[in-house]
Amino acid sequence: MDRKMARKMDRNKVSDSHARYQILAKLRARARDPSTMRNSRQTSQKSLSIQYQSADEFAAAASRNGALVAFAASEQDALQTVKTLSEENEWRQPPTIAPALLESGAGRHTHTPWRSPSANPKPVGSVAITRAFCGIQDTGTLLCLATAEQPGSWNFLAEHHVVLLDKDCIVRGKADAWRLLTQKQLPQKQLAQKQLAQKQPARHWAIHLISGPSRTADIEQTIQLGAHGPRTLTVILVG
Amino acid sequence: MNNNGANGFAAQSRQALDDPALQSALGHAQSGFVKKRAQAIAMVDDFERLKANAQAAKRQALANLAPLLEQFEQNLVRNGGEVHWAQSPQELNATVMAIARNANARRIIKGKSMIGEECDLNAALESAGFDVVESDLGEYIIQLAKEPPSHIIAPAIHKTRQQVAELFRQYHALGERGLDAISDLVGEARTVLREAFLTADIGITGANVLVAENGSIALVTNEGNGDLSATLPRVHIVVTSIEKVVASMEDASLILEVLARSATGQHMSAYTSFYSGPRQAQDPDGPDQFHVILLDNGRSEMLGSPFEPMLNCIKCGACLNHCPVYTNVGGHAYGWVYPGPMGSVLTPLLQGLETALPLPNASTFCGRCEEVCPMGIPLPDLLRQLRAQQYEQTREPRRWRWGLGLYSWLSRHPRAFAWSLRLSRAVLRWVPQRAWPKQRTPIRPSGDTTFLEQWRNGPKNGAQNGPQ
Repeated sequence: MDRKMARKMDRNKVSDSHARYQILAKLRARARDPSTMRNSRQTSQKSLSIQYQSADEFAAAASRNGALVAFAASEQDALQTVKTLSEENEWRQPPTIAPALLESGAGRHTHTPWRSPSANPKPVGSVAITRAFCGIQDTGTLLCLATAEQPGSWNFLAEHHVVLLDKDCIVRGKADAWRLLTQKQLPQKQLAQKQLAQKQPARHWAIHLISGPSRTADIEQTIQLGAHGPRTLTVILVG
Repeated sequence: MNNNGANGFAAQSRQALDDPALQSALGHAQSGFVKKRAQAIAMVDDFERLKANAQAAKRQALANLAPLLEQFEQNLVRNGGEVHWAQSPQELNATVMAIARNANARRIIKGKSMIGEECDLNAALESAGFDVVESDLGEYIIQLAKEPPSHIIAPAIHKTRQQVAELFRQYHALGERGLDAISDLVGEARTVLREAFLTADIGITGANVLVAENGSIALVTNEGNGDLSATLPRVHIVVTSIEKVVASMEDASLILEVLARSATGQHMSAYTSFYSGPRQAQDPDGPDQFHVILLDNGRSEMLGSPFEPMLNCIKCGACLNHCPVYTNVGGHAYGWVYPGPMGSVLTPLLQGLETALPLPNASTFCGRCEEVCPMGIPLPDLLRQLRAQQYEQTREPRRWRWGLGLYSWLSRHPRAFAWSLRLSRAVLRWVPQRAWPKQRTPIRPSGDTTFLEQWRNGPKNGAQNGPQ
């Protein structure tokens, strides 16, 4: 934002300060005393430790959401799987891939002309390959962070979205995922993931929880995949 | 459909019942939503516990609304975003336009937002010369049709596929593209709107939850349209309301646990995103400016009042889908943007009791809305309180008061009451079929005696084979 715009913004802000004062004053006058409230929350999980879950359970939950699930022993195998999938389904080449995946060396051995993102991420190729920060087993959800290497819009612009998820990075519920995210408590085994964590900024402008391909039921309550986002979501469980 | 606002409810309902296309469209809705919700809930171990947790998170947030909003503001500003406050729809619209003008923007892409609908934001932006395109498929359809939404999560639920195809034929340069199947219609909208996403200067979305601890907003969609609106344009404006703030990410997830299950019968919607500010130096995408506008519009008055439970509403639409009135007359009959049981409570509270006299009475008090509400809002009780307020303020038509007076007198005079029952039985038996409204099954007396007579005669004389 340039300076001129910043000044304009400040002027703009002054105009709604009256509204701010009025609203907060009303809320303060009308709120009940919070000290009279008891916390009736029954969270099933008393401890603050993170609960990890098995990949099979996650795979079942993700399939129920309409995601395709595949397993791979390594990232290199995973990219081989993407190559096979691209050929079988005639996905337009070349797929766009997160540079961290290329850097890890896996991309070099699959003889595919992977496309790295340019400075301007749009438009993305027909296939986007990214890595999830973690998986949430309860609902078969992938937690993806918008980073310098994996632009947030990739999750929505590509025709086909392929997400690599480390088997050791599957937690039970959303609360576990938040803890993992804030504490950066990554399993020791995952060197690549740890490197990713070190590169991460303190804040991500976007965190995306993805539970299946894009869909709509806005016309006659009939579910259609590929509304505005990816038509397919493929999860490759690595490890 | 003619729309005379909420006070035109009776006439609008009659029109809706006589509209075969609408009746066919509503038929799909009822079975779809209700069945999917029941299946999703059956798959959860203890949905009652999830409900209790979500309600507790919300209750605590409402008790701390002012400090939480300040914390939200502080954190969002630290993240590089801006928070604006609006007491009325006019103030919200003015703020959006000021931001748009400062950004030299012309093209605006919108995600679905009920606050946007509440403020009639599109009309304000269009009359100021901005080019506004709705991107949620349902919202896009009703924008083409120039209609308000008829359902809070499925805005175009009242349209059949033929009607949608007709709209696309009218507004799109179709060429050879066919529109016979629903997939063709979805593909057509995808193609046309993709261009709009890539060229928009500003994206406007709503928010489902605001998180105080890190100044982020949660946005829940299935199509991904909200996320394309949030990630591609250089300015992202979030229009939302003050009651959506909760303390933490953990509290937000307690609400997310019940939202999608109640709304569409999914465990999670396809996309739930948390946006916490503009892009940072190293980010290749994301908006340069991130604004959140907090709307009050009468909500602060509800806090601490008997209607405070209505602030628990997370706009899932379960009460609409299960309401025998809504599923028969559809959303437009209710005359404004919020229909069904939640609308019957919210519309009089936000717009004024006098603008929505029929709505608190547009209920059979069957209680299904309260039963399915994940946030435990006692909707029938709130409707009853609104009825009492109407009576106290003598706002209802004279013939209603006369009828209520007669009933009150009869129930205080047992003999006259018994006589009136016998009279009604005779009359009901005699009324010919064609005199009944055609949507209603004629009520005929069952058995030969009134319930009171059977009761008096005791079990030996037919109480066990009395009215069913």
